[in-house]
Amino acid sequence: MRLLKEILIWSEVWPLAIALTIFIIFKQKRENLTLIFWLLLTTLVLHFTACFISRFTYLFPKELKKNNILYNILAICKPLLAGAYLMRLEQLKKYRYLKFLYLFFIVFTIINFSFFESIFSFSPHMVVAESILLLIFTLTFFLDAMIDDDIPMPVNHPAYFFCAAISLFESINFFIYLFLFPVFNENLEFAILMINISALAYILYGLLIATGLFINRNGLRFPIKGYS
Amino acid sequence: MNTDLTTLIILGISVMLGLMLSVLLAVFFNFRKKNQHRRAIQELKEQQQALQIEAAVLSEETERHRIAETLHDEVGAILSSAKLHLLGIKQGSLDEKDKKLHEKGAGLLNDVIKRVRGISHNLHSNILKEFGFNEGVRHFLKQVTGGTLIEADTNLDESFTGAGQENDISLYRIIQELVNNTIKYAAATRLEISSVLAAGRYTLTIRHNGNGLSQADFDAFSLRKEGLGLKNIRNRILLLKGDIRFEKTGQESLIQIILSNQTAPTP
Repeated sequence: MRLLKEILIWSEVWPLAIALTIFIIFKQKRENLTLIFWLLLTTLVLHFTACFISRFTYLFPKELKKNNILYNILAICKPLLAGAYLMRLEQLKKYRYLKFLYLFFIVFTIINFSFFESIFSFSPHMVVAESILLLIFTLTFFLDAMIDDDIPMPVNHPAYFFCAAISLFESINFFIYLFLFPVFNENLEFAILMINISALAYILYGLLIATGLFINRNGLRFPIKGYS
Repeated sequence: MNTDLTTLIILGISVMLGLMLSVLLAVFFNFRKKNQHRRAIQELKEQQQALQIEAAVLSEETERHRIAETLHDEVGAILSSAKLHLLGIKQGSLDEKDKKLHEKGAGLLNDVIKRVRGISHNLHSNILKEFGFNEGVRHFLKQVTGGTLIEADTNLDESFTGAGQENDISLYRIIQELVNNTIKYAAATRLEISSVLAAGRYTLTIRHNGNGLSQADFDAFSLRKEGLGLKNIRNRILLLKGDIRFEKTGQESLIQIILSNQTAPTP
């Protein structure tokens, strides 16, 4: 039970670590995945720090106990890196509105943290903006895949796993993060249940990306003893 | 208030997740359908290509047959008649010079008759129909290398009795083209045609000591506009659903024709 609890607490970290490890160990058939690497690395570091602070709060001085800033940075970095990766895909290059949305997100972030919310407190605006941006990107990707008769990329391309991971993650976590704080004040039990569901979404997200990268593997990047 | 928010969150998550899963499933089934459709189109294209090749080969064979018949029945008959007329000339009434001219003319006429008959047989290949594939190949090789410096030999598997009349003709034409090319371009002095039928796989090998083609050469030449003979070979191989391999090893050149799903007759 305790182990399960630990697994759920660190669910933001270990699935991402698995995905990153697969990326580092195996060469990839389609090598335009540098942005995915940076996304995995950045989010892993931020999630690890956030989880570490929350797990070992007693180790930190009062001013460093809050990890909201890290989640706000995540809400900026994740859409920027994931959006940049998706926009670079040949399949989505023709959709110019994605570029406008991307720019709009940057402008919105600057305005939001300059005038409306503090970067040091939890930002519901950023959660909504992140989800909307990423859902529009991934839905465009899927709809284009259905409309396009030529099937420009195979269904086992890592981009499909990446989009599936993001879309499922955002569709689960959108409402959870939007109402997490009001629910915490009103129904603690339900809030804990929501956090656990969110943890499962994180696991699904990381493992789907890891699966995509594993299917896309093309030999080892460096020799490993006992592995052929 | 508390219950409303809980319901809203549960409903919101369910709707969003349901929507997303529906999209993912739709993409998956759409892909499967597209792939099936693409495969069907590909199969249709291949069938169409095979039909086109078959039609081209058939018309080529019909044309060969017509030319062979014309040569044999019309040109051959006229030449035989000319020979009869020539032989009807009384040699005693000719002087020495005319006798020599008469002999020269008769010799040339005999040569033309032989050649016309040879061409006619090559085009028609009655032997193939009457005596079977192996005998047809032996006869062709003897005919084409007879009177040349090429040392030719056959070592054919007698358990192979043919791949069907149409396919036999295609296979025979491929051998004709390859042997003619070997004589014409490879400057070979030794040539052997052998075949093996084992485990439903028929392998016919043409081995010679000339400067033959490599697989890359064949692939390149057969795609050129002017490479009609090699293009025909490629088309006939496609029609036979077989494979052709060219190999150069030191002093020797090999051409292998491989046909799958061939059966030996039951004893």
